[in-house]
Amino acid sequence: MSEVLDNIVVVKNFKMAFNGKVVIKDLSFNVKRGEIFGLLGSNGSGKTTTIRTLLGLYTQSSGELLINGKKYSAENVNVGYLPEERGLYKKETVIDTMEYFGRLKGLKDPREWSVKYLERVGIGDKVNEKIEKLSTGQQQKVQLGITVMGDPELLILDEPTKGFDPVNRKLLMDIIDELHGKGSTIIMITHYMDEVERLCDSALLLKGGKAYAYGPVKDIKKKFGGKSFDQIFVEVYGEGTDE
Amino acid sequence: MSKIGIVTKFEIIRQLKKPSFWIAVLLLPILLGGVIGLSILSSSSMDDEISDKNSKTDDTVKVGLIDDAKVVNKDVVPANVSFVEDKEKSIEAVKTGELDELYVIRNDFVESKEVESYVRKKSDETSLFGGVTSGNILSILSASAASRVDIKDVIILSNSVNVKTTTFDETGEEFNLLGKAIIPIAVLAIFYILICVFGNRMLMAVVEEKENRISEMILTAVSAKQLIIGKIIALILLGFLQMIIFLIPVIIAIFVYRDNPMVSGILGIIEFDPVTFIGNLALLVFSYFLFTGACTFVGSLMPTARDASQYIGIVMVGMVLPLMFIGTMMTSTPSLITYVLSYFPLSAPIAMMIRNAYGFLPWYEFIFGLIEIGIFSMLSIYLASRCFQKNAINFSVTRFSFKSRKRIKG
Repeated sequence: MSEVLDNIVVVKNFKMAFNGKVVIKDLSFNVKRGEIFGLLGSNGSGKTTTIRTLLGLYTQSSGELLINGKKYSAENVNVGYLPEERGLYKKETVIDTMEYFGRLKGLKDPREWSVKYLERVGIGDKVNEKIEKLSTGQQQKVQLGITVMGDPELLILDEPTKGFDPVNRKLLMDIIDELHGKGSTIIMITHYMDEVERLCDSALLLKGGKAYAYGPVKDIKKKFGGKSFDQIFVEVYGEGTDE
Repeated sequence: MSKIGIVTKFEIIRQLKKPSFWIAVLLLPILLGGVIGLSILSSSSMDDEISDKNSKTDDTVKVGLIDDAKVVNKDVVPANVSFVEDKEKSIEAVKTGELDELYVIRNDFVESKEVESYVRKKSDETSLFGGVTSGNILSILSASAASRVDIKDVIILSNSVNVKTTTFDETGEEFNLLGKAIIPIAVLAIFYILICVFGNRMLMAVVEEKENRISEMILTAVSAKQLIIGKIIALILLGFLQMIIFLIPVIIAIFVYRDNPMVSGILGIIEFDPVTFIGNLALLVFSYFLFTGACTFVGSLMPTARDASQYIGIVMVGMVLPLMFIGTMMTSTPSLITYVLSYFPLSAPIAMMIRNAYGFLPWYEFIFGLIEIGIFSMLSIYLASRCFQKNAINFSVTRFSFKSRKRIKG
């Protein structure tokens, strides 16, 4: 019981294979409530697979992946997920798209919330613009807005800063900080190790379908002799990727 | 509002906002209405023209007649018709306007069955042949013949006898096959139009999240089952909207042109049989569910609309196949092919509707068919929901599986 109270995410003995190819061998980890958790690994190491399985988009071969002690359901917990594969309804307007997602997430006045958000991120004049007319960066801001709607209890960001310029990257970090301040738990998949060191409370390094290193950021650094995460990443994955 | 309701509302509003939706929905009724309207109008103006021309057997038209065959009875000839002798001079008289029409009945009339007609085109006439109709001479000849023989013989010999048949069914009731079938066949036509207009739209609605890479984001806010059911309800409601949009101009046109001979002729033979009508209406509703389920099922398996459209052809062929065997099905003694088409799930809707429209579907077969279509619609909707869930993030694999777990980057 205390495991559920302390940890918003519990993954136990998670195994996953696609068409006979084992991607995750045996993975167990917890994400504590209110922390920022870095899920790290080289390309093909199984980070996105783990998140997709946690959110019920894939079915695991074996093991348990729980959010708030239960298998994920949109009804049980408000999760904001910014996936690596990003897209929106291209023919719809920004406001209609955000309002739709807002209603699905149970916001009382999604229109008002969206207008305020869009003004904050500097695209207040694009409210009634069709998504397809926006630049890639502007579309990413809309996606981020949809992700953080309703102050999600758990925020999962898969490479959130990918494609953002430094200004927008800072804006994103401010929003993450703000949500963290409000008590949201954040799981972040990223290849920017400076972000991990600056933001994350704990991290997991996936290698060969297993947890190569897992724990508080400072403990991981200690384990690697006080090296920076950039150096740790090169040391762990330098001999080739998992692909 | 429930999540299914939110999805349904979103899907309906965005479809209604699309010009392509209104083009698809309105184009067919407008085209059909235009063709029917033109045909009604042209039939009216033709009738008016004929009656106008025929009414010209009056004093205002000066008619010359050369009767070398001696077939015309001078006693029945109207006052404006004068008998002339010289053909060439009379033709000149037509050219100069002294005569409006000249008819020449030659000696060889019995062999040739021909009457020569010379008519001066009037400046206000625009008809293709430039002259009046042959009504004048034909009415003179008919009157002459009738004066010599019994009118009954004229009717018989002129092959103008209409045989009006009244058929009784097994119970002794009057049986009007065509009249009874018109309304149920109209229901079948509506179903056919619906599947033609909505097939691709259904596919697009289902694969859109996959094509636009929205699946992952949206499936954390709503379950795949809720999403697909919301979409299916929206598509069904849009289908019924299309039906209403299609029917309104038809009903208005019928009301406006109710006195037109063509319309009143059709309305005159229509016999409204509530049982057959409700039967086909029930089949239409269940069949539309089945078609929607089948389309969404195919869409949920495929990563793109293009991939899905290749398979939707199979559904469409299955649906319209019974139309090729319509003659076989319009009989009270069904053949094997009739049974096969009536119970194969995809062809069952149209086969059942055809047989029901013509009164060749026994009540127990109707009930069985309705249950079968109902079960298969539920099954296809269930499978569509399951497959959508399993293949929701199937962005590139065309090979499908109920347990799709594709290789991904991570």
